[in-house]
Amino acid sequence: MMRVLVADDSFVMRNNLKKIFEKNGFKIVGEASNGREVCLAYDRLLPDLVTMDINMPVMDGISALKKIRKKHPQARIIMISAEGQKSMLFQAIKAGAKHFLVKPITSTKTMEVVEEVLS
Amino acid sequence: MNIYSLLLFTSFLIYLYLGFQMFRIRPMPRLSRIFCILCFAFAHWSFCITFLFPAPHKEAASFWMKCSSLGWSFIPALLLHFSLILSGWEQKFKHYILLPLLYLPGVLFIWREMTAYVTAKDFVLMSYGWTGVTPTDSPWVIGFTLYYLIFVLSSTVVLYKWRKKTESPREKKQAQIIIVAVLCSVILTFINETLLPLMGIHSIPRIPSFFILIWALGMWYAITKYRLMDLSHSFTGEIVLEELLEKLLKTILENSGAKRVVILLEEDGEMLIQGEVDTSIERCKVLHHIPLKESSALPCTLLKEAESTSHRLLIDDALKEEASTLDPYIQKHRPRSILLWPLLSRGELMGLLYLENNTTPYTFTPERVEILQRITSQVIVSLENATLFSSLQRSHDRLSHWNQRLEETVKERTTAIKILLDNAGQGFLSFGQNMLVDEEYSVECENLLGESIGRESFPALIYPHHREDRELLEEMLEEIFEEKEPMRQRVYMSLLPEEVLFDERSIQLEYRWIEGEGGERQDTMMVILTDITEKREMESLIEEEKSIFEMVVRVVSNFSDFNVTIEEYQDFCHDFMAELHCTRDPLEVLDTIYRQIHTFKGSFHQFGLSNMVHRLHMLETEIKEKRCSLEPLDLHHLEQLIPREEMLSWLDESLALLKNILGDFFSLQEKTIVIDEESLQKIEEHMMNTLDPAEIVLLLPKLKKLRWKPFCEALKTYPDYVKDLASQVEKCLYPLEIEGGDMKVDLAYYRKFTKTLGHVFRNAMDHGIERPEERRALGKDEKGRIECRLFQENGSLVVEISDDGRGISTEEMKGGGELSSAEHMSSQEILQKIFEEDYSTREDLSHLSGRGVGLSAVKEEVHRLGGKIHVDNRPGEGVTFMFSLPLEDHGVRPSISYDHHFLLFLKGAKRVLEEQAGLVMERPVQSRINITHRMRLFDLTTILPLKGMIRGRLLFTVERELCSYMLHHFALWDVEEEEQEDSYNDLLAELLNIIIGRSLKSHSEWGDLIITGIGEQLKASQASLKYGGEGMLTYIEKTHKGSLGFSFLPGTGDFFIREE
Repeated sequence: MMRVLVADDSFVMRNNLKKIFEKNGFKIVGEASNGREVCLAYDRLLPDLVTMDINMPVMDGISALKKIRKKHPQARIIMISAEGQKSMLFQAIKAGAKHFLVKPITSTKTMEVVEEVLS
Repeated sequence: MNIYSLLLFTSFLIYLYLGFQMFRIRPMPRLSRIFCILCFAFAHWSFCITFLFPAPHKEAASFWMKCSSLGWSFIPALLLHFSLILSGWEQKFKHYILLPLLYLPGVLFIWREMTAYVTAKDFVLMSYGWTGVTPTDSPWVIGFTLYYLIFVLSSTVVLYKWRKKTESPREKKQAQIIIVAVLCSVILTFINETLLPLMGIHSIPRIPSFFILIWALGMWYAITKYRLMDLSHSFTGEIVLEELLEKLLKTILENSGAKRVVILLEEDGEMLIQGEVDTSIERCKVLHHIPLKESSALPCTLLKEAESTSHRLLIDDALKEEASTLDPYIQKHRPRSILLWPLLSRGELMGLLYLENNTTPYTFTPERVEILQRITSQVIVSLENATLFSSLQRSHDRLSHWNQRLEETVKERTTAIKILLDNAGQGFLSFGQNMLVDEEYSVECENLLGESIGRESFPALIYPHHREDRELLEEMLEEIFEEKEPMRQRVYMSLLPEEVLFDERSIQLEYRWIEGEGGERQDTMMVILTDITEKREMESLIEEEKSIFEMVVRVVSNFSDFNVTIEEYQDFCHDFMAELHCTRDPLEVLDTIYRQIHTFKGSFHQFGLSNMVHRLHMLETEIKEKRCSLEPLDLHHLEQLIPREEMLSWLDESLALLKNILGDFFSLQEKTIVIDEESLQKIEEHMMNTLDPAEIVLLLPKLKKLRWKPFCEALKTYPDYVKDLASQVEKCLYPLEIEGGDMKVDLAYYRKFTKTLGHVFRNAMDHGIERPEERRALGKDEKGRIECRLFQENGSLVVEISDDGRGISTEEMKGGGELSSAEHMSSQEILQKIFEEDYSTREDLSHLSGRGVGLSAVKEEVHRLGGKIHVDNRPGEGVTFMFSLPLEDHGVRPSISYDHHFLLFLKGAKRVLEEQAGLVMERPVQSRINITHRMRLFDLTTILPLKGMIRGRLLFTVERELCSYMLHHFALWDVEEEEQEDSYNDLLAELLNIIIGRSLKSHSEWGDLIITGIGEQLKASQASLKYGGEGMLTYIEKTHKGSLGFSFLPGTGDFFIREE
C-alpha cells in the first residue's frame, strides 16, 4: 500500500485530501501543517508520496521541497497551489516536484496526477 | 586485248554480280528470277563480244558471234516478260500462250544465227579488231530490228501504263527509272549499231552490250532503292508498335496493290482494329483500339471466319460472287479484290490483315501474295516484340500517370490544408528552441498578433508588455526544450499559459510538442491560437443574464423573506454604530459585524443577488485582514472601516435592477409583490431565450406558480349569485358558504369549468330546494342550505356541491322523461342521465334552469379536464354532486407565445429557402404574419406535427410550379420525369425538417423540447384550410417563381380542408 504524507496548513484541505487518498486505497502515514513539520516528518516516515501546499507558514512549500529533495533525491512530491500561482509552480517543478495540482482539487484530477507520478 | 574488250569484260562482271546478287537476295519470286536471267543474258553477250574483237581469225570471230546470240536473242523477250509480271498483266495471259509468244522469236533468231547469220554476214578486221558486216537488204536483219523495237517498245508501254495506273508513288518511280534506263540504252545502242555506220563512222566498235549496262543498272537501282522486292531488314529495328504498324501498313499498301489495308491484333482475347491505311487518305491511322464488332467498315463475317479458321481468304472479284452469300459490308461497298491474311505466330493467331481493292479485280496476284507472305513472315517477330513493348509502355504510362496524380493530390491536399489553416479562424505557428517563430505560420496569426511575426520571439509576441510573464514563459519554454523526460515535459507544458489577453482580445493557446527526428529536424513547439473573445463575452453576458433571472425568480418566489432581509440589512447599515457603543472591546465589535456581514452575504446569495454577494465578500475579506493585522483598533477606525453609505448604495443598485425587470409594481413597502400578467409573460419569454432547458424546467414552474391563485377565488362570485337566485325564485336560503379551496391552481385552466358550475347551483335552487312552505310541511328548516366544499383528494381537485332539498326522484325520471328503457339501469346510471342533453324532469321550464342543457355543459367541461362526476342522491333529503378534476401540474410546461416562435421559424425558413432552394423572398417576414382561422392552400401542402415545448402543426404549402423549381434547384437526388410528382412530397417534408432544424439550432436551448412527427401530405389544389382552434398563424409569400405559405396551427384542434 502506498504511503502518503499530506502537508497543508488548512485542516479542511488536509481532511479533503485524506478522504480522497483513503478512498482510493492509499494510506495516510502523516500530516503536516507547515514546512518545517513536513521536513521532519519525511525524515522519520520516508513516505512514497507527498502532497504539499505551496503556501505554508513557518517554511513555505518550495523551501521544504528543496530541503527534502536535497536529502532524498528520490522523493515524490506533488505541489498544490491556488489558481494564478504558475510561476511558483514552475519554480517548484524546477526544484524537483513531480507534478502539481491546482485548487479546487477533485478526486479524479488528484488520482490522475498521482497515477502519472507513480507510473 | 584492247580497251573495248576490257570495257565489255567489266560489263560482263557487273552483270554477273548483279545476277548473283539478285539471286542471293531474292531467290524466290519470278520477277527477280527474270531479272537474274536477264542479267546472265547480258553477261553472256558481253562475255562473247569481249572475245570477238581480239579473235585471231574470221572463223573465231564468227564463233563468238554465234555464241553471243544466246545472250542477245532473248533480251527483249525477258524485258517484256519482266514488265508484264511487274505490272500484273501477265495474269491476263495463259502461260502456254504467253511463254512461246515471248520466247519463240528469240529461239528463231538463235537458230538462224547458228545455221547462217542474222546481223553479221561477214567480218572485217578494223583497228579495234573484228567486227560484223550487216547486210542492209537481209529480211532477217529487218526482222531482228523489228523484234527488238516491238518488244522494247511494248515493255516501255506496259511499264508506262503501269506507272499511270498505279497509285503507289514507289511503283511510279520504279516504272519511270526502268523506262528511262531502257530507252537510254536502246537509243545508245541504236546510235552505236545503226546510226554511226550509216554515217560512215566505223572507228567506234559496236558495243551494245556495254550500253545495256544502263538498262541493267537502272533496273537494279529501281529494285534496291525503291524496294521493288527487297524488304529485308526493314522491320527488325522497329520496337514502337505505332511506328511498326505504320511502316507495315505502308509497305503492304505499296507492295500488295491494295487500296485499303487494315490490321487487327488480338488483345485479351478480342480482335481490335489497330491500324488502317487507305490510298484515299494521306496518313495512316494506327492504334485505334477499336473492337472488331464495333466496326461497320469491315466485312465482319469474313473476318470472324478467318479468325476462327486461321486460313487466308482471297476473293479475286467480289462482283462476280453470289451477292446473297456475301457479307453486308461487301454488299454495300462492293470492293472488287479482297484478301484476308491471318498473322500466325507459332501456329497461334495473333492478328489479321485485311486488304481490299475496290476498283480492280485480281489485284492480289500470286506475285503480290508472295510478297505479302514475305512481309508478314518477317514482321511477326517484330510485331510480337512491339506488342509486348507497347503493353509495357502502357503500364509504364499508367504508372507514371498514377504517380503524377498522386503528386497532384498531395499538392492539392497541402494547399487545401493551408487554406483550411488560413481560414480556420485559428492561428498556427511553430518555433524551435530559439523561440523564434518560423516563417511558415498561418495568416490568422497576423490578425491575432500583429503584422509580421516571422522570426519574432514567441514570448515577446505573447507578452509584449508584461516583463514578468514574458520571462516566466521564456524560462518555461527553455525547460521544456531542455527536458528529456516526457512526464516532466508534460508537466511543464501544462503550466504554459492557456489564455492571454492581447489587444483587448482573449486568445486561447494550445500547445503541441513535435518531436524532432534528429539531424535536420529539430524539436518544435506548435502553438494554436484561437480568438475566444466573443465566446468569453458571450459567456459573461449569458452568465450575467442568468444570474439576473435567477435573482428575479428567487426574489419573487420568496418575496416576504427577501423583504425581511432587505429591511434587516438596511437597519444594520443604519444602526450598527449603536452596537459599537454598547461594548468597549473593538475586536468583539468587529467580530460581530463580521458575522453579520457574513450572514447577509449568505442571505443575498440565497436570493441570487450576486452583486451584493461579491461586494460583501470583498468587505468581509477586508475586515478579516484588518482583524488579523493585529493593529490596535478603536471605534473610530471601525466606523471608517465599514462604509455604510456604500453598503446601502450597493443594495439600491440591485433593487434598481429588479425594478427594471419587474416593473414599477415592485415595491418594498408592500408585503406582497404585484406583477402584472404582461410583465410576467415577458419575463418568462426572456428566460426561455437565455436559460438552458434544465434551468427552465427548474425555474419556470416557480415563476409560473406566481400566477396561480387559490381555487376558491374562482368561485367567489357564487355566494352573491346564489343569493340573487334565491330572491328571484322566492326561496329562503342560508348564505352559500364556500369551504376550503386554498390550494393554488392556474385559474385560467379551470375557468370554463367553474363558470359552468352556475348551472349546478341553479339546478339545486330550482329543482332541489323546496319552497319554504313545502319545507315547513316536511318538517325541514324553512331556510334551505346549499353548501360548497373544495378539497384535494388523491391528487384530484374535488368540488362538492350539496343541497338539502328534495333530492332526485328516480321514479319520476323513469316515468317522466324519455327514459322508457331505463328500468334496467342502476340508480347511479339513471342519475348520470340528468347530465344528458335535452333531459329535464320538470315540465315547467323556468327561465333559470332551462332543461338539461345546463348540466350537460358541466359534464362536457368535466370530461374535457379529464374529471369525473359522482351524484349522491338522498331522496327527500338532498343531493350531493361531486366533481373531481385531476390536479395536473400543467403549469410546468411553459406557455410560449407562438407568434414569437413562428417568427423565428420563418426567419430560418427564409434563409433555407434562399440558400438551398434558390428562391428570392421579397419582403421581410415580420410584417406578413397574420392570425386567422382560414388559409388558402396552394397545390401541394405538407403538414408536420410538432410535439414538446411547441405543440401544434406546421404547414407548408406551395404552388406546383414553384415546387418543381425548388426540386430542380435543391437537386438532392436525380429525379426522373415520372417520379417528379412523388418527389414533391419528399421535398416539402425535407425542407420543413431542415427549416425546423435550422431554427432550433439558432435556439439550441429548445432542441430537446421539440419533436417533429411525420409529415402528412395533401394534394388539394386551390383548397382552403379552416382551423377549429383558437387561431392559426399564417404567412404567405410571393417569390419570383410562385407563391408559398407557412402556417402554424397551435394546439391539437381540428382543421378542415375545403376544395374550392
